[in-house]
Amino acid sequence: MGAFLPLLWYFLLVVTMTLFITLDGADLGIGVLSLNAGESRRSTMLVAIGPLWYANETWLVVGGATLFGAFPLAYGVILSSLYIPAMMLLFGLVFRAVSIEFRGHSEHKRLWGIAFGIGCLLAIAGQGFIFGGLFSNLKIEGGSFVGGPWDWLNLGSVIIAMGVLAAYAMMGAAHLVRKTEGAVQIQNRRLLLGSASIALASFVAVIAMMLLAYTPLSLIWSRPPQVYFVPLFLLVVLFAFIMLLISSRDEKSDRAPYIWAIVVFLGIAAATIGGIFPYFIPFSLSIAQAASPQASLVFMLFGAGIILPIIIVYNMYVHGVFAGKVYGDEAEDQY
Amino acid sequence: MEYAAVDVARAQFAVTTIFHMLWPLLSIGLSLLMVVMEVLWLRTGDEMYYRQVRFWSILFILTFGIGVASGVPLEFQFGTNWSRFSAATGNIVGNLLAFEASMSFALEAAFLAVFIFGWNRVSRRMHLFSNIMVAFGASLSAFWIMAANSWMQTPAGVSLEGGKIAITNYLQATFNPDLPIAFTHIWVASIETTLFFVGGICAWYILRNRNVGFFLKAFKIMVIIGIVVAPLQIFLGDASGLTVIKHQPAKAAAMEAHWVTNPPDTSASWVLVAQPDQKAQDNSWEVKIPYMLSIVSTHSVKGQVIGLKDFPVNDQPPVAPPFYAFRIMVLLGFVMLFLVLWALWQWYRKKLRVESAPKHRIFWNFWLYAIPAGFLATECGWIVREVGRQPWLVYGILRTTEGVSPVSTATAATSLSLFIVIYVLLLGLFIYFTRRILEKGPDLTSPLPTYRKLDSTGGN
Repeated sequence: MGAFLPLLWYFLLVVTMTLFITLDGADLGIGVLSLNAGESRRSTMLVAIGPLWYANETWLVVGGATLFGAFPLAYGVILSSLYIPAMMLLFGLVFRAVSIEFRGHSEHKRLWGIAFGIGCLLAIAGQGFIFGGLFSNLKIEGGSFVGGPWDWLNLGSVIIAMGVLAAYAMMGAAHLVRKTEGAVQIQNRRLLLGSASIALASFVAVIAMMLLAYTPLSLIWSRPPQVYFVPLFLLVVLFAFIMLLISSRDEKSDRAPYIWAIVVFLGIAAATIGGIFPYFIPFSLSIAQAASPQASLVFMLFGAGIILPIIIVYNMYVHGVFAGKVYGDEAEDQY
Repeated sequence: MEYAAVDVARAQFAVTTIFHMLWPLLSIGLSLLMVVMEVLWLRTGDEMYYRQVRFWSILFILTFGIGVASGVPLEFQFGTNWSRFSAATGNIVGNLLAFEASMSFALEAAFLAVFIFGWNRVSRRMHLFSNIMVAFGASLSAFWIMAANSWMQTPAGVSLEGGKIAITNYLQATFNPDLPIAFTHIWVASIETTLFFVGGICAWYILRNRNVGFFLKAFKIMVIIGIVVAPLQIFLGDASGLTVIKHQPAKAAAMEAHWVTNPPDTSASWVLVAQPDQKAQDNSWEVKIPYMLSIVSTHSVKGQVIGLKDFPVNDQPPVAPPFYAFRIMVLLGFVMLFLVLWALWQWYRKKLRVESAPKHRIFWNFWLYAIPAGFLATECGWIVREVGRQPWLVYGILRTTEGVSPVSTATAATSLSLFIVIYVLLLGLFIYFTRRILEKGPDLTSPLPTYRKLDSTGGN
């Protein structure tokens, strides 16, 4: 029982965060892609995000609170050591939320559309650098961060952040392919190919860098279970990427690109999480070290743990209500 | 240097919470109002109630959006600026926030989409259900947030083991002594604040002789709710005060600028207004009402009320902010009661009729300018609650200075400045866009909802 609960909560946390980056990652990705679009295409893109972005963002809220409750030490250390990227994420989300709201009420739709895109970009950058920062060998002593405010900024984290940006753009483009038709969809297919390729390239670059620069990582990866697990997932990612390439050029498959994009995304995530197991923060804080006491984890299981499947169920229902293609200014009638 | 960093962190938390607080007040109140309106629509078939739901929900979604936008920074601020606090108390505070996120916020956010955008996509029942889920989620959120904050005020179920905070009883910690009254008081505050927000908007329209019938209807519903809520809130305030006296005597003394414990068999005077002087541990000048403090605090004339000097200086909260904030809040509470009674009187005197209502300009102007009343009262209440808890983060257990993150003052000052700039901007934009929404007025002509069940292709 001793090791089980922290691992269970780690798993639940991973599920929550994965749901966030898959669902809201698409929304954020679309936001970034919209920066380069004309006004009518931007409107279509925003309608494709639709009213679901609140629900999608809740996974971040749930994930953050889960991190706080189940792994309070990690929560505090990660956020205080990665203060600047965390603030980038927070301010980005603020801009994203209010821009999409205000755009509906304003005559200056273009202005708010761009503010929305910038907010998404900032939020993605924040996430990218948080992720990259975690791999920056943060100086942690006695459960506290002892480094400087810019420790997270280095070549590795910049490449990771670019990869995250490309990956979110890929998710966004895949979502757009699913929700749009005709000429718009063809454009989105091209975007999908482009962003997926950049994402994969960054991923490969990062792995190479990690293995060369990070002795602890190559040590972990040369031992079981990682020695089987990681190459397996890398193969999955490669296969899914090829399928993504094929399906995005096939005019008849609307849903397939989205599915393959998710597989690529999840494959990368699994390889990463699996690759650093059992560390929470590589390589200074393990999952067991970061976890709350047993009693707390049990208590949380009743209040939050059993709720998670329920949230997934009603979210699936709500997604179902809004399924289907979008055409232009469908959502504008609300204002 | 450590001292300065704490102050910046505190200032940032204060700025972000004060801003955020404005929006859930409306989210909770408006979501309940919309359930009332939609039920009335479905039961009476009167189209006007449908138009009410649609109109108020425009304001609702705007406030909800800003509420979410400003709420996420709070959730993560415990980690960014209060990491030591998080590590020490995460196993209860983090827990309760996780309950809030998963039980209430997730529910609210998902069903909001159906409620706002799903009129033509789901059945009548499903739409009402979604509406109810939004309202339930909003109120339940308040419950869990107050549970977390209440634990910081009256930490129950706790023992200190080797300098670490260990929770010995989770149910006790969650349902701590402060929670019932704290939650009820803020929940009723949400209703009361929304009441005056809505009432003031009704006044705005009636003063301009626009949609008078529509807004008189809404106003009368506000008055009916107000008859219950305005006196109730004063009563809850009294109960709240009694809790503070029992569990946080230092805060109780500070908010009354009461320095010296009255000896047994004497009465404590109530300080009406004063200039507190913390260094001298006394008030430079004061206006006092004899016997009143004993009566208010202990409900007996010779009740003993603990003075602030009974506590070491290092354990005393600052006196001026809670003292003044408390007075303002109480005053506003009575002003709001007065306005409800006046409205009732106008109603009884048949002055709330469509033909004649716009004439009573003084009355409507009072209601119009009372829009900020609930917001101001609530913020003052929070200032009493949080500043009065100092120097403790967790009352009697963890000091504020012990909870802060090892983040440099410069970094924190930068984020603080950004928050101030952005939030001032957002507040201004909210007022601007609300004005636009009001200018546009309620939509009385677009088609009624078609209430389709979800078919296999979805979409339109």
